[in-house]
Amino acid sequence: MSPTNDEPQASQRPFDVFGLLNLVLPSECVAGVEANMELMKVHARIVEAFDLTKAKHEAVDE
Amino acid sequence: MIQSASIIDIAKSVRTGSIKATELTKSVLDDISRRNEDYVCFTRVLAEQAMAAAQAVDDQVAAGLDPGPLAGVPFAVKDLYDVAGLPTTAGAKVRVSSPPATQDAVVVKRIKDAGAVLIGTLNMDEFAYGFATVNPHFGTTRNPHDVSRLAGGSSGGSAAAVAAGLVPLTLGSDTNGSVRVPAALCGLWGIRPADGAIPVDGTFPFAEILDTVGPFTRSLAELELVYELMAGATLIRSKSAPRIAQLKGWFTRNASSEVLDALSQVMAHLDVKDAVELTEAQTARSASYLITAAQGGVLHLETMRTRAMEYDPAVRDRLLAGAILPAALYQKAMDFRSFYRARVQELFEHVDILIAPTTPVVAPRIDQATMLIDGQQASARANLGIYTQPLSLAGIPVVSAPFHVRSGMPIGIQFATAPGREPMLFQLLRTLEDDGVLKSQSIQR
Repeated sequence: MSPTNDEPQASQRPFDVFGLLNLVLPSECVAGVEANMELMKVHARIVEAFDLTKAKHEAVDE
Repeated sequence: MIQSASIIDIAKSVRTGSIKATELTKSVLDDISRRNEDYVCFTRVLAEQAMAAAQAVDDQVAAGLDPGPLAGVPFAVKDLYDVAGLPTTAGAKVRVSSPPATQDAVVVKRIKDAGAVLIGTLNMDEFAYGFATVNPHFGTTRNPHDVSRLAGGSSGGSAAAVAAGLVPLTLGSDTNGSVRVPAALCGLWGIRPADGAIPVDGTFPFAEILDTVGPFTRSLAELELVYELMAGATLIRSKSAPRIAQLKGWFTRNASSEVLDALSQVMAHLDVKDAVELTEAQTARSASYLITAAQGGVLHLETMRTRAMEYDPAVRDRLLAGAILPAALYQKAMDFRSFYRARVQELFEHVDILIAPTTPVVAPRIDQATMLIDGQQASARANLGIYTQPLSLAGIPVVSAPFHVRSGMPIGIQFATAPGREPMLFQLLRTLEDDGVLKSQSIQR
């Protein structure tokens, strides 16, 4: 099936992570965003690992 | 003259009529036209507007009126402050043609009302997202102490302009360390005020929950004066002896030997051996990282839908990643922030002033903008603020002071206190400056 005029050119492809952004970026940009998402995951893991409930209890006990 | 004179001396000379604001302004404009290209500080020089403002100051003096405590003092602002009649670019190509600001930012007006003369706008990382002032649209700002090195960021143009002696006073902004990092790398005094102490109205936002604004100067007395004018409040002198402690753990991990040596000398001079560990510092840094990316991402999403390719790629890719951060993670970071602020407040029940390095290393080279973090090379642009970010999240006032380096690149030391204890902080810093432990470095010309 050949692409229609309405479809993105080969140099551009939909960048639509989670279907939320609805952005169209050249494909070479996607790698940069993905690299930053990986970095974000590192920070997310650190925040996720912090047991806020436990820390609050400890603060009360002190 | 600007090379050595403080803003206090300049204002005194203008108020007494011994120098004219117009002559001074012309001299500053000539100097900028000759030397700005060496450092890439100014994005716009407002020559006509500056000369008119200087003339108004001279007219006031001639009429026997007092133009104010900053009479005739040349100053410049980071390119995210609203200046009436100009588009506020925030260092971004996408904003170069935006509608001009209809009025000055609140603190720009306050500084102008004190008699200062606005000379121009200054370079920054695009949308303040970086610690380097590497800007693809306006250029890379160079460190006046060694032009092959970074000035730091995101208020790099503001720091370099003062360090180079182009103007004696500039204003920057500090969300995660963007005043403190360039102040440290350029050998200047800079302050991140407590949340809400200085109004941010009329500045282009980055991550609004963390945004603050603050000045750069070459001495503490100048910093205090400008802080008071920006805050619209007078600090009462403190006579209390502060309880002081060094921040250990996260705040010394990854520091270079020269930075650790400077910190040791400060602590030895104060004869303080107490150290406290803020065990949540690493989590605070990560929470700041996530909150900043998420708030920045949301702020820019609509513009990026149609103009993403006009952004600095390094900024755009981080903002896009932030825009798709799951809400649950953002909320967790915000919940942590609430806990952490209370935790830091508790710490200040036992101590008044906390001391830590501002950056782990001196200014990195522009062509090798990486640094060692936990044994791995990492981007300096993203990591120079690892010691400033945890203190930003706490919302407390922090001064980055220039350690008196006899030779070599500048080193900054952070002095943090609880909101409301700024007078005690300034008192301690006065002592350290008087004793020669803290001193701004002038460049050799």
